[in-house]
Amino acid sequence: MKIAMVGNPNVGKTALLNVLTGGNFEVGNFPGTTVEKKEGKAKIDGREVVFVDLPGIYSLEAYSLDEKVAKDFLTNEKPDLILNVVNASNLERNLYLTLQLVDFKIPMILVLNMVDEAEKKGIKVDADKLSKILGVPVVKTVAVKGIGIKELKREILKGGSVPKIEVGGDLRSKLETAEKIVKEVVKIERTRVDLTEVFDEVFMDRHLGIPIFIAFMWMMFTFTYTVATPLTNLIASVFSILSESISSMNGILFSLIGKGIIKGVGSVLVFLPNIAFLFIALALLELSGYMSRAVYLMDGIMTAFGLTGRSVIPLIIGFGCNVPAVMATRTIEDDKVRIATILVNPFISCSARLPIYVLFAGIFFPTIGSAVIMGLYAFGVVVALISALIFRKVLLRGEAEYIIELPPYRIPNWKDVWILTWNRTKHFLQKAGTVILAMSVVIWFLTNFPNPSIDKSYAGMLGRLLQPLFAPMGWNWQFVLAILMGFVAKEVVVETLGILNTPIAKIMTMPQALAFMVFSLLYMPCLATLATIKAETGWKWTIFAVVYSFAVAYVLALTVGVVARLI
Amino acid sequence: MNAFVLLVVAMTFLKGFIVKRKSYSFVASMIAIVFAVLMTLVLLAVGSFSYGILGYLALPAFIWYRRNIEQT
Repeated sequence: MKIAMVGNPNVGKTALLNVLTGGNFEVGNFPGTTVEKKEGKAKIDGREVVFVDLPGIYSLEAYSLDEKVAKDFLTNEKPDLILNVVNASNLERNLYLTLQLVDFKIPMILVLNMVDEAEKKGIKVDADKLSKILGVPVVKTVAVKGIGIKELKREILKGGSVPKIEVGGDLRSKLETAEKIVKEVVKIERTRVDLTEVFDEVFMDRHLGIPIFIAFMWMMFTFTYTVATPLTNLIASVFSILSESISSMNGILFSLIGKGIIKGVGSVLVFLPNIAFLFIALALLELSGYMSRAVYLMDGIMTAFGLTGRSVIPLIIGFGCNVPAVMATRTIEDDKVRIATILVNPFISCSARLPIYVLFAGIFFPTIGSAVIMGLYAFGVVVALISALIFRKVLLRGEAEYIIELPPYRIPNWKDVWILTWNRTKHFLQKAGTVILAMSVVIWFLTNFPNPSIDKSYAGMLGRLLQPLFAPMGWNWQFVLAILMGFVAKEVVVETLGILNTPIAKIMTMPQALAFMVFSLLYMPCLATLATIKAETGWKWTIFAVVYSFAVAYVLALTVGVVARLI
Repeated sequence: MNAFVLLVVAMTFLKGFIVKRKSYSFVASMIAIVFAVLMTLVLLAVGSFSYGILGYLALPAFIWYRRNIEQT
């Protein structure tokens, strides 16, 4: 039995999928968490059921890529049943999609989710009446708490019903029908003050909104950089002891394991606490609903730079990893805005670049490390916005509009925080066990052959060959080699410096370090991001992204280095 | 930047008094407490003290405003 889960963004489809299948799919509290369809399997009373969680959409007009994904699935795959998940607090807007689903003549169950939040707001929905009007079973649920799931499973086994309601094919008659239904089934009794309104009054205040946002960002970076320090030190000492004890043994194999693999992988894994802490902070901001307010606050700025508020979510996701961020642009209807958002996304500093900043800030700016790192993140955002403006004025001209939905504030569920943090951190660990491990062997080989003396090794030759290109920045060849290797994955920059045993503090000055951090922030997207950009936009824009980002990184790193020297 | 957070908390409280809205004092006390928790973690992690820890003093205000807002 194949079941399609369809609904507006942020109505709890993925949470429902998790509770029905026992899965660990990422749940968010802002629209656009799911941009591709996800599948989960479950057995209900011995019957195998495949649930397909489609991206959250407002209609089936197929203006944006996620709407197209949903419409194509319903048309081509013909599921046995549709679970139409609706937000009980916002029935009218959700019903517009329901009335479009009616046209497919596929059996349906209406899942009235988040009834607890609706009741808190004094909104009561008469499920029986709604069921009679639509001619489909209606089940009340609170997916995150597992409420109503037994009833839902019972209805799933019954197979739902083909909707019986008659509605015109045009937009106007569907909107009028939705309004009429809501008048009949919804009762609003305002009981208490809605805390979402209380928070919004302050968080979206004209004068205080942005300062509060900056304060939260500062707290996030302090948590990421400072609070993680003891754990980082602990992991560093463990790897240092391991690497030294193994490499002290004689033999090329011990050298490979000790100086190559353990030192290389260890130099990246040291930053695991920083990355995990960043993801915890991001998960808390996302799940609490604050992130959507950040989108709203930034909308004016985004519009001024030729983007829309919808671009903010991919940009914020980019702080974690640019790959899902590029994919998240699928929620943007306007193709030109979408391409501009994709092209500027690599300037948003992903977590893989964090180890570089932590390493260099720790050496050159020990007392103001958090501020320097936050400054780099902000610099990346500024470069992204200016680039977006240039693209929209020169290459991707046009006007764009959008609608944003503000979800309610929620106390983050610890399970969801864990799933989000773990899924993202796991990606980093997988990279450490694959790409970074492979690169540590490559770098070890390059540094030990044809001559174990590093100056005469392949690494030395390669570094010196490319060094003239970066001569204006004054970087030693080791740093040039690190940048070259970092093209595979940005963590490899730190790994290369670790394996090369680079005495950074001795061979680099503070302005050079600042320029290096800026270059690492801006230069070419990593291989995985490039592959995603290629998949989303094609070769032309991918090559453009490589050339443009390299040129911007070169010019800005040089400028920052010169300015820092003068100061 | 720690001083900036304290300034934001102070400004939010101030706006609450000026516009006579409890929501501002409620959110300001919440930010103060979150910041105090963070500064406690910083103190434990690296031994660096910040006056942000005094944000715990806003706890009674937070509870009071929370109850008061709910009853409104």
